[in-house]
Amino acid sequence: MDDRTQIVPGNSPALQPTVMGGATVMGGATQMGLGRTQMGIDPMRTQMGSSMETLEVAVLSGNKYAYWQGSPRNHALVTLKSGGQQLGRRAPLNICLAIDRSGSMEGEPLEYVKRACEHVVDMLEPNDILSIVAFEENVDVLMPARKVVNKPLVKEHIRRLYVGNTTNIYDGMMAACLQVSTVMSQAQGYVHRVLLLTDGEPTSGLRDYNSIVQQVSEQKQKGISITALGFGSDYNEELMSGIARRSGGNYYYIQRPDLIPEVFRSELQQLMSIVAKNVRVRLYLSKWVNFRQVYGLQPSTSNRMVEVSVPDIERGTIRTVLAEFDFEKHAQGEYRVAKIEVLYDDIANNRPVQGQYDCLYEFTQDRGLIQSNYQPVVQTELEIAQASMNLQRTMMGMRTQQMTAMGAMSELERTRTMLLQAGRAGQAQEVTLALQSIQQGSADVEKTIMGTIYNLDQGKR
Amino acid sequence: MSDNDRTYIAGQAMDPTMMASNAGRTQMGGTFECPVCRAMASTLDVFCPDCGFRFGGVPVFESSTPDDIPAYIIERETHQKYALHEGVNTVGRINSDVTINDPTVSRNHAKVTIQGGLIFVEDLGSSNGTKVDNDRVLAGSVTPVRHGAKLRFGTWRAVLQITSAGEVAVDEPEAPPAPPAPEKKERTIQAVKRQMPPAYEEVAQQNFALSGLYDYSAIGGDILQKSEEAPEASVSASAPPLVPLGEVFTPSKELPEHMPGSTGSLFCVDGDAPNIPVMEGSLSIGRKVGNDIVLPNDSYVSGRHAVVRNDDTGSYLIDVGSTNGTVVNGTRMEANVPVLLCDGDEVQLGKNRFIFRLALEEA
Repeated sequence: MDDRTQIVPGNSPALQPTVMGGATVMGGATQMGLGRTQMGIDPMRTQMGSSMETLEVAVLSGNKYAYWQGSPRNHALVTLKSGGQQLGRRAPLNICLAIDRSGSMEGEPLEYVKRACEHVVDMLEPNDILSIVAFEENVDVLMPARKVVNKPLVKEHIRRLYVGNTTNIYDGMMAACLQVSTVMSQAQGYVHRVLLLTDGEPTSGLRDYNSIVQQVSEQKQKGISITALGFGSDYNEELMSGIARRSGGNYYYIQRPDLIPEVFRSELQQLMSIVAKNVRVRLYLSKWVNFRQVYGLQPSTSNRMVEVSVPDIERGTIRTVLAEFDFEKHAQGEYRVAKIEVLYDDIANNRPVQGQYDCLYEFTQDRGLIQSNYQPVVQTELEIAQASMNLQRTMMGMRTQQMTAMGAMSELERTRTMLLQAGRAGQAQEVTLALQSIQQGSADVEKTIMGTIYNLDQGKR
Repeated sequence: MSDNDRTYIAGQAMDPTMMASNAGRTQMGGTFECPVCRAMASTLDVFCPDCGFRFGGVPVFESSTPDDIPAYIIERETHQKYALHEGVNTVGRINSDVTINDPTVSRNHAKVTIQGGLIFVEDLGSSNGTKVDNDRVLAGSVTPVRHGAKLRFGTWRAVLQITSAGEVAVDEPEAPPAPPAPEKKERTIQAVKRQMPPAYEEVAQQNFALSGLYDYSAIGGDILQKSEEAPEASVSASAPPLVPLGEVFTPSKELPEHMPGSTGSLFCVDGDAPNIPVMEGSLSIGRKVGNDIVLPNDSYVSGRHAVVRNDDTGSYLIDVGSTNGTVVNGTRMEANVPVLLCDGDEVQLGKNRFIFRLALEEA
C-alpha cells in the first residue's frame, strides 16, 4: 500500500464557486499587500488543481467578522465534496450480511430477505468478498468470507436460511464483524461493512445498549462499519440508529417485507460508490476560542484539538461538518481561530490524503460590519442542525408521553418549515410522512423520524 | 519555535514581512514574539501558533469610541451573558445582535432599544411571543424595562442587567408549590406505544443530550412539563391582570397559534382537550361523536355539552343543558344562556380547564 501522504497546503478557504455558490473568500490579505500567499494565488495550490483531488474541501466561517469583546456561538463549516464521475475502479467490497432469523421473521419477511441476498450476490464481482451469518438465539455462519467467484453456490447457501427462535443481535453482529475482519489483511483498500438486518429487540445475548454500542466502537477502530436495517414496527430504533451512528454506517427503516430487496440494493450501490473512507476532520483551536459542539457528531477532544469521524463518502455527494465555538476578547485584527485538518483514505488511488485549511475571523468593534457579513450558507446549515434538534425533542416528548399529539404535530410542522426554508425538500417530505403517520395513529412515527434525524445529522445533501 | 543558537540583536525592529510596521520586535534568526499574545513564533508562520493572529497586521487594543456595554441580557439556564449596545439590538434565532439558539425563538423575534438612558423591548411579530415580567408584549408595541426585568422570548428566559445598576439575581426564587395537577395524563399519540426497556430510555435521553449542552433535564423541565408560575405580585401593579388565578404557562399547548380566521381560542390549560378556536358560526362541544369538538375521555362531559360561537357582537359560550354544567370564572352557567367571553376568562368544562384568549392582530 502506498504510504505517501499527499499534503495539500491550503491557505484558508480558496473556494471553488461551485461549492459555495460564490461566497466571498475570508480574510483581508489584500489589504496588507503582502508577499505572503494571497487568496486564490497560492502557488502550490494552482499546481495541484481540484480535479486531482478526490474530495474538494472548503472551510467557511459563519461571519467574516466577530465582535472583539467576545461573542458566543460562532461557527465554522467544513464542506467535503466529491466529484460525480467515477474515476478508476470502484471500491472493492468486503461485506457481511447479518440476518435476523428469529421466529418473527417467518414467512414473507425471510423470503424477501433471501431474495435481497441473492440480488446482492448478483451485484458483486469476483473481486468482492462476501460472508453471510444468520442469528436467532445462536449464530450460524451460512457462508464464511470468500470472494464471490461461484455465484450459484453462494445462492445455494442463502436458500438454506430458515427461522429459529429468539433474537441475539450482539452475537450476530460479533460473528459478522469477525467474518469481515478475518480477511482484512488480504483486503487492503476494501470497504469493510456489515449489513445488520433485524425486526426486533435483542432478546438473547448481551442486550444492553452500552455493551452493544461499545463493541461497535471497537469495530470502527478496526475500520469496520455497520449499516443498521430495521424492519417492521417492533425493532428498537434507538438501538439501531445508535449502532449506525457510532459506526458511521447507514440507518434504514424498512416498513414492509417487499421493500427489503430494494433497500439492500440501494445500500450496495452506495457502498460501491464510496470514494473516500476513514474520513476525519480535526480542529486545532487557537487561544481565546472555546469549543462548544459539532452538530450531529460526537467529537473526541484533547488539548485544544477536536476530532470528528465522518461517515464514508460516496461520489457525487456533499458532506458538511458544522462546528460551534465561543470567542473570548481579542485585540482587533484578523485571526486564524482554528486550523482545520481533513484526512481520509482515497479509494480510487488507494492512498491516504491530508489537507490543511484555515478558519479566519476578523475581530472588530464595528457592529455594522458584523451585521452585514453573515455567511448565508453557514446560517442555512445551522438552521438544519436546529431542525434536527427540534425533531429529537419532539421524539423525546412523544416517547415520554409528555407531549400530546397536537403538540407533536405542531412541532413537526415547525420543523418542516425550517427544512423547507433551508432548501431540504427531501427531508421536509419525510417530516410530512411522519405527520401523516401521527394523524393515522400508526406505530412507526418514531422510526420514520429517527431516519430523518439520522440523515440530517449525517450532513448529507 | 525558538532558535537558541542564534545571537540576539537587541533593539532591532524587524517585521517578519519586511514591511515597516510596529508588529513587534524581531529577533534575528527567525523567531519573534506575537504582538498580541507574546507567544514565540517563527518568521515562517503566517499566523501565531497560539492565538492565531495574522502577522503583518496591526492589532488594536483600545477601542476608538467609548465602548462600555450599557446592559446585558443574561440567560436564566446557563447564565450566559449577551451584551447589548446603544441603539437597536435585534433579538432572534439567526443573524441577530442577540442570537438565541432556541426553536421557540423566531428569526426576527424582538428588538431591545437603548436610548437616552432608557431601555425598551418591542416584539416584531414573533410566533411565540415576548414577555416582560410575565406580561405579554404585543406585536408592534413597546414596553420599557427596568434593571432586573424578567424577559421571555418564546420559552427562552433571561434577565436584564443594566451595567451601572450592579449585579442582578438570575435565578428565580422558588415558586410556591403548584396546585395538584389532575391525575389524568395528557392524551398521547393514538399509536400503541411500545414500552422500551429502561436502559434504552436512559440511552435515548443520553443520545438526546448529545454534546451535553442540551441537558435534557434542563430543557425537559421547561418545554415538556407544565410549569406553573406564581403571579408576580410586586411587579407591574399597573398592568391589567390578564389571568385572575395565576397564569399556567403550558408551552406544549400554547405553541399552536390561533387558527387563521378565528377571533380567539379557548386554550386548554388543564386536561386533555384540544384548544378550541372560536370562529364565525358555531362549534359544538361534547363527549359523543358528532360534535365539532369531541372529548371522548372525559366522563364529566355530557354527550352534547356546550356550543361556542362567534358573531359580530362577540364570542359566546352556551351550555346546552349539560349534566355537570359549565363554569365561567367560578360561576356556573345557566343552561342555554349565552355568556360573552372576554380575554382571560377561565372556563371549566368537565375535567378540562380553558383560558379564553383573543387572537392578536397580525403584525
